[in-house]
Amino acid sequence: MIKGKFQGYFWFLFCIVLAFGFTGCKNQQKLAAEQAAQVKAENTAKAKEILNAILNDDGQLTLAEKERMLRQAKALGSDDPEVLALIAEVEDMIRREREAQQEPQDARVKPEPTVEQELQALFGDIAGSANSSAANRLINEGLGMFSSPETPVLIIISLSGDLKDYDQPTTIERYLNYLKDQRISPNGIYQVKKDDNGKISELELIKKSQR
Amino acid sequence: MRYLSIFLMLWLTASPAYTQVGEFVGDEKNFYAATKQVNQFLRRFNGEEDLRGKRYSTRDPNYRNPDIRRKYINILFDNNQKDISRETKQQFMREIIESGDPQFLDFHGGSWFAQVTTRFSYQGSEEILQLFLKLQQEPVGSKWVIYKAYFEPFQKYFEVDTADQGKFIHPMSHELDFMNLKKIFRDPDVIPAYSNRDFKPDYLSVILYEIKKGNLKFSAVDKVRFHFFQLDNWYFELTEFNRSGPNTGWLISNLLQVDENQKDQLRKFIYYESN
Amino acid sequence: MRKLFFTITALCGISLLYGQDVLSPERKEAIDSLALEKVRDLSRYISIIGNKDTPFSEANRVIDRAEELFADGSEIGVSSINRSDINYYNVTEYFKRLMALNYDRVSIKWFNIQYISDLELQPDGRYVGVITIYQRFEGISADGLRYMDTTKKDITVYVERKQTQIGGRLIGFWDVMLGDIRVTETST
Repeated sequence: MIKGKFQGYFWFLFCIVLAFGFTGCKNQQKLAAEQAAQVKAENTAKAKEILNAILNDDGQLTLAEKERMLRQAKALGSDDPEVLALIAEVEDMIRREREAQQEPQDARVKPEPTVEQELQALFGDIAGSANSSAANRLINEGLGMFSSPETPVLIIISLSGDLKDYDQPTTIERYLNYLKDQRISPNGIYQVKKDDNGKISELELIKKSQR
Repeated sequence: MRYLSIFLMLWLTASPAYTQVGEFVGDEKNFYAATKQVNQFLRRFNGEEDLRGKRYSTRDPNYRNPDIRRKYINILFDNNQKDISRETKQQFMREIIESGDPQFLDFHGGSWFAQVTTRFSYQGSEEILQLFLKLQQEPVGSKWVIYKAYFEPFQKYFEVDTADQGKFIHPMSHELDFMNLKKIFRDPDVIPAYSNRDFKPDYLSVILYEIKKGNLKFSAVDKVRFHFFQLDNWYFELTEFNRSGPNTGWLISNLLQVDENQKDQLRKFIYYESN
Repeated sequence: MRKLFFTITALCGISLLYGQDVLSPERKEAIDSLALEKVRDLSRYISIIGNKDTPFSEANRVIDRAEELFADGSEIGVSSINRSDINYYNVTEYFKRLMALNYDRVSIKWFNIQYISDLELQPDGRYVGVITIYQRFEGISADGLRYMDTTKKDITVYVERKQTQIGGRLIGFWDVMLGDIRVTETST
């Protein structure tokens, strides 16, 4: 009896929500404001957590990791004074560490990250971002690297000799949103084409399993 | 085991009002064992995939390997069906696997069909309607087609009272331009008696007509099963079971040793034509 | 703003490209994986749509993306153990209902098992297959009510070879679309 009751419960819940689910617009606005405030508070807390983790690091994090975490914290977009102060502190720390690293390396200049590395890091950051607003900020920043949000993205699903099988082509804006939604970055960089302004005009990716 | 512990954890933390929900004791092993698709039934029967459902290459020594087939076919029977004796199963497996001429099932090989038990609303009530579908090859690809049907409420309209010897159109009726047809058609109930000896009603035509007229309306699919006549001297029925334990999914629910003549009779029986 | 037009120019000679004898097992496997990936994408979209923390506009955007995974006219047929009837929903209806349920949290866990059928050629030149997965759905509402079930999902997948013009060259790609989904509550 109880089990039978439960089976119907799910659909009963459907009906109730459908019948009474459309509450007034005011309520929705209030709810939206509350949600926004909550997200803001969460982002501030998350940013503090990340920044403090960098500052309190006991040598576990590499410089690149610290830079990545700083990017993540910034992307959370908090304007909390404490967070801003922590950001300044971390930036200072990273600058000092970078200088210290460069000194003993004499004249050997550390190579600039390649566009492939930059893209891979961007994809990873979007997929791993704490929430959708942080991811959206990274997406907007990232789109700056491309000719337009409509820049085509091709994804190779199988490669045998010269024969390439592709997934349905997409655009960079849709692809970056895809990474945000799916929270994984399943493809590596295969080929990057740039326009006269040095922006990426076509991106060819490849399934990581095919590399 | 992992899922059992998840369940216990959830069950312990659930609010008292909702603890009745916690019936989840899923075990992945059973999902592996289950024959999840008819496609998987065919591949297991033929010994064409590994335990995880990955297809063997045709060059793989395991491909259609008799030992693998024996293991697989053994788990393809509905264990609750006691009508299939151990001896029958053994003989079946011997003939299919071990004889000099092993037999395999072929999706496009014909001689198998689907029986779909559906419900239609007819004259204000829900009635069972049997549909028979088979795969038809097309210039490109293939498709399932409905080729036979049976609807019990129509049966009474085609029944012939064989005891009544007085119903016939006498052999000289043609000389009077069959003017006696007027009398015959006055009583619709006995009209089937005036048809030929081999007359078989074509339910599908009547059903299509009634659907087009709006008198028959589709409600639901109740059950799907498959009848396999593809193997020499054997017939089996394939049915889907949804139950706990490993003996679940698409399984052989009936197995009969039949010669070609008996196969015809069996087909008629399945089509509701054997009377 | 530059716009990219995906011009689907022609259906390739599928039988040549995808004929059982021509396509290598590796390529077939890549297509199977691609189809499975679309199923996983759908699953993730469902989690986002069902989560009340997802802002309304974001949920609608995700519904659009989820709908794009499906071929036109696809339906979802749901049945439970104790009910013989199947409830049919079109895809949009299914997602809107999921959003309206407003669970506090939705989790969709996959059992580590899936079954991918052969791809069969159908009369319109497209290939069709079925992917079977098992999932545990758990939705917890704000007041602590928890709904949980384990279902077998048989998902229709259509695969079609298409071509499009990009940057002046012709790109051949596999268009993978989801079709009808049969959801059956399992006896576990």
